[in-house]
Amino acid sequence: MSGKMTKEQLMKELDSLRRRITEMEALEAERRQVERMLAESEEKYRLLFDNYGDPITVYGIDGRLLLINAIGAKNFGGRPEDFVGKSCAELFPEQGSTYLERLRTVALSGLAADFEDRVKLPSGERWFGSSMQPIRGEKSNVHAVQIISHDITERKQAEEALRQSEERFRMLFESTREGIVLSGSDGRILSVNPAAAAILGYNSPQELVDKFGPELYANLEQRKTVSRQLREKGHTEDMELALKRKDCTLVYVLGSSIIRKDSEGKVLRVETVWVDITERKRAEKALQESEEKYRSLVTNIPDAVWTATSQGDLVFMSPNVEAITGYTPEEMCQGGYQMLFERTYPDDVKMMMERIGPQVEKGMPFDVEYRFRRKDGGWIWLHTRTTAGYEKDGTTYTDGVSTDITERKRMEQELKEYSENLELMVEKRTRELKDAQEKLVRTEKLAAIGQLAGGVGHELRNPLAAIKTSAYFLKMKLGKTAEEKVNKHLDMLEKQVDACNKIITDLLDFSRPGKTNIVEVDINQVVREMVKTIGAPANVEIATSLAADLPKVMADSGQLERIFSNLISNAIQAMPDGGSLSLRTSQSGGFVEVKVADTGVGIPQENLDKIFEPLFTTKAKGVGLGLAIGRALVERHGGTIGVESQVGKGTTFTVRLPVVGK
Amino acid sequence: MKKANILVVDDDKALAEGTVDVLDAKGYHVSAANDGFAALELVKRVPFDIVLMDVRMPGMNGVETYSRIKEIRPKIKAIMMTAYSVEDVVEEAIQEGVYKVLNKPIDLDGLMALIEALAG
Repeated sequence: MSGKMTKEQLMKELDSLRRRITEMEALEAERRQVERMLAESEEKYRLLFDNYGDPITVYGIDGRLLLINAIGAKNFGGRPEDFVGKSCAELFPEQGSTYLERLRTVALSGLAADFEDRVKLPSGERWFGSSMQPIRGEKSNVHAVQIISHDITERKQAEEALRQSEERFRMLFESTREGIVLSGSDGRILSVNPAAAAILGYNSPQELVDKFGPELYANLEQRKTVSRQLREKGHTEDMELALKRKDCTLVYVLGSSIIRKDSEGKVLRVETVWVDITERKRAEKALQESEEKYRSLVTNIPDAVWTATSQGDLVFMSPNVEAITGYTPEEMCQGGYQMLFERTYPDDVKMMMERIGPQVEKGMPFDVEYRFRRKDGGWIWLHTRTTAGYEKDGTTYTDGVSTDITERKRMEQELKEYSENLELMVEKRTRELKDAQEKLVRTEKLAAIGQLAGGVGHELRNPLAAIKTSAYFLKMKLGKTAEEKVNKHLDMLEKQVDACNKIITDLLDFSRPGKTNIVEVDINQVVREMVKTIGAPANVEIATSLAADLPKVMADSGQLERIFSNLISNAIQAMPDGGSLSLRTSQSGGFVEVKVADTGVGIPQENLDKIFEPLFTTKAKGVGLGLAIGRALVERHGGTIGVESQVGKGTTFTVRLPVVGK
Repeated sequence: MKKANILVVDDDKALAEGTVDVLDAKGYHVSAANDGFAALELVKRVPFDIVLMDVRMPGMNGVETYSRIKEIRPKIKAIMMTAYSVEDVVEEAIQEGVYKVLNKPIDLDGLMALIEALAG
C-alpha cells in the first residue's frame, strides 16, 4: 500500500482526514466546552468553598493544611492564607496528634469517618461535628483528606442541658421517699423507683418490672375503685390503699395515679406515686387507742377526774362525778372552787380554804379529805388530791382526782368504836365462855348422875316391890285383927315404898328423858290444860294472862307439862300461907315467854345461882332434881329458863322457847 | 271358882315368894320359878291359866320365855312386870300377846283386880 494511492484512495483519505478534522474540531469544541464548564465549575466550587457557612478544610496526609475556607479561617481568627501549610499540631496545640491519627486512619482505610469534638478557638470553646472524606488522586490513591465541620455547640449544649435535666429527674426518681411506678397501658410495670421497691419489700426495683400492677392491691374493692376513677377521670388522688408486700404483709399507702396519653388519645403509660402511711396509720391507731384507754380509764375508775385552772375554774370533770355527787359534770364545773366550798361541810370549809387556796396559787399539789353535800342533800366524805400545776397556752392547770371515801370513813369510825369496845367485848366473851364451860360441866355432871341414878334406881325397884308385896300380904292377913298401930305402920311401909319409887322415877327421868315427840304446840293451850289440873289449895289464887296471837313453838307437849307442873308445884309450895299464882304468856324477839310467878317466901340471893343445879334443894322433901330436869328440858328445846326473886315477896320463873321458824 | 292356876316367875326370890303368898292367900293355885328354864319345866307339867313374869331375868328374859310357854300352852294369859321403863321391851311384849305390862313396885290392888278378871 505504500507510495501510490489511487484517487479514490486519496479521496477516501481526504474524507477521512476531513472527518477526523471535524471530529477533532468537535472534540476541541467539546474540550473547550468542558474546560469552560470546568472553569465555571471550579469557580462555582471555589465560591461555594469560600462562602460555605461551615468550615471546610483539606489536609494532606502529612497533616499539613492544604486548603481552608473563609469561615474556617475566621474561626481560627485570621484569613485562609494565614493558616495554609500549617500542621495539625500547630493548628490544634492540644489535640493535634489525635487529629493526625484520624487523618491517617481515613487515608489508609479510604473510608469516611465522622467525629464530634470540642475545640478551643480564639473565640472560645466550640463543639464541632466533623465529616472526614478521603480525596483520591489519579491513581486512586488517597493523597488528601477533606473535612467539613459543623458547629454543633448549641445542640451539644441542649443535649447537656437535657442530660443534666434527666440526671436531676433520675436522682429525684431514685432518691425520693415516695414510691413511683410507671406502668404500661396493659398494666405491666415498666419501671419503679427504689422507694417503691422498698415500700413493697423488694430488694431491687428490677424485681418489680413486668409484674401486673393491679395485683399489688390487697383489697379488691380499692383496686376496682382506682381502676374506675382512672377510667372516668384519668387520675386518682390521695387514695388510702392497702398493698401486698413481697412477704405478704400489708403496707398502707396514699396513692395518686395519672394516665398519660399521646396526642391521639392513646394511653402511653400510667404514673403512680405512693406515700407510705403505714407508720402514720400505726401512730394514728396508737393515738386512737391511747385516747380510748384514757377515756376508758376516766370513765371506768370510780373516782372523779378533773382539771382546774389556777384561777379556780373547773374546766373538765369526768362523767362518773355524777355517780359520786349526784351533780352532772356540767353542774360541777359551774362556779369552780367557789361552788365547791359552798357544798363543803361548814366545819371543813376553813381547812379547805387554807389548804387549797395557797397551793393553787403557787401551782403546788394539795391533798384534802372533807365532807361534801351531794345534790340529794346527803353528806359524803371525799378525798381529793391534785398534781402540780402545769402550763399550757399561757394558763396554769391542775389535774385532780376525787375519791368517795365515805365507806372508808365509816369503817374507820366503826373500827375506832370497835377498839374502844374491845375490852368490854373481851370481858363479855370471857363470861360467855365461862358460862358455856359451866354448862358443859353441869351437863357432864348431870349425865354422870343420871347414869348412876338409873342403875341404882332399877336395882332398888325389885327390893321395894318385895317390901311392898310383903306389907300387902301382912295387911291382908292381919288387917281385921291387928291393932290399929300395926295397920298404921303397914300403911306407912306402903307409902314410903311409893315415896322411894317416886325418887327413883325422878332420877330415871332425869337420866333418860325418854322419847321426845316434837310437834307444833300452842303454849296457851298447854297452860290452860295445866291450870285445870293444878289442884291448888284454897288459899292460893290463880290468875292467867295469855297473849293473843301467840305464835306456836316446836316442842314435846308432855315435856312442857312436866316443866310447868314442876314450876307450879314449886310455886304452891312456896306459899304455905296462901298467895297468888300467876301464869302469863307473851312474845318477845322470836321467843314465846311463859312467866310463872308466886307471892311466896322467895329465894335468897345466894341460892339463886344454885337452884337449877341437880341435887340442890332447900326443901325437907325431894332430891332437888325438879328445876335441874326443867332446865335440861327447856334447853333441849333451844330455850332458856331464868329466875327473879325477892325474899318475902315472891319468885318469878321465865321460860323462853323459840318461835317456829318461818 | 278361885281355882285358877298361876305361875309366878321372878329372879328376885323374895318378891316371887311374897307374890306367891299373897295369891295363895287369895285362894289361887300358885307355883313359882326363878328363871325362864324352870318356868318352862313347870309349864310342861302344870296347866297354868295365868303367868306373872318379870321381864329382865338372867339366862332367858321374860318375853322370850313367854313366847316358848305359848308353844306349850297357847291359851295361857301373861302379865309382865318390869323394874325398867324401856318402851321397846313393853312394845315387844304386847306384840307377843302379853296382856299387860306392870311397873315395879306393883300396885297389888290393881294386880288382884286384873287377875280376878283374867281368871273369871
